[in-house]
Amino acid sequence: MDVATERYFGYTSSEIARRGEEIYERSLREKLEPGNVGKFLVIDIETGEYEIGDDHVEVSCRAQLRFPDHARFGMRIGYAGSFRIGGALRVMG
Amino acid sequence: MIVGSVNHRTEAEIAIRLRSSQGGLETLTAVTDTGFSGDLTLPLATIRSLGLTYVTTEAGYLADGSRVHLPVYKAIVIWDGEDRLLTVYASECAPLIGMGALKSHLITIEATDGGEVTVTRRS
Repeated sequence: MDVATERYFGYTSSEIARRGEEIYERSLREKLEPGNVGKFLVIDIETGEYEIGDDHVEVSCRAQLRFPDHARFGMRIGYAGSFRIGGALRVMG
Repeated sequence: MIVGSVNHRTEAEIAIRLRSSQGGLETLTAVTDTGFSGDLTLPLATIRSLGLTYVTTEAGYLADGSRVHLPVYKAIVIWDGEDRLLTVYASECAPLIGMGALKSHLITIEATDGGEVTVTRRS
């Protein structure tokens, strides 16, 4: 059992992140980034639909219920990462 | 108030009680880590044995600057006597309690071997 190789709806975590980031850059950044920096976003990596909000737990659970059969990528708008284990998070730019 | 203690590695530990998907309770020890921004980390084997539900995959950073992708699950923790929904990052490190879970609490740590740790909700 290995976090890096475990699959979720057929995808590894790295594959989910890559597809989620591609969808964000291609279709969502321009629309969402102004005015939503710091909000949490969860993207259905199959359809590109998403949930957005202020609370990490609430948005994550809402997306899991709305897109139960697809892998989902979570991110914090305007940040290079949505979590840190050690170090400090900073807004990009 | 949640009460824990500092271990011989000078880590501030508290006991965490989680509800399993089968209706049981599991108690484990987690290290309070102010360098962790999320709620809780658990090893994948523990997540599987609890039957937790996957919610998202996220990208984040470790202390050495490396970028990692981790699956995130949801869990109900009995926190100071009440059920509380938290997110759990799958990580093979020792279980960590982070600032996401500790937000709006006062934490005191007597940073000596055997010292007391308290976590108190702020109104």
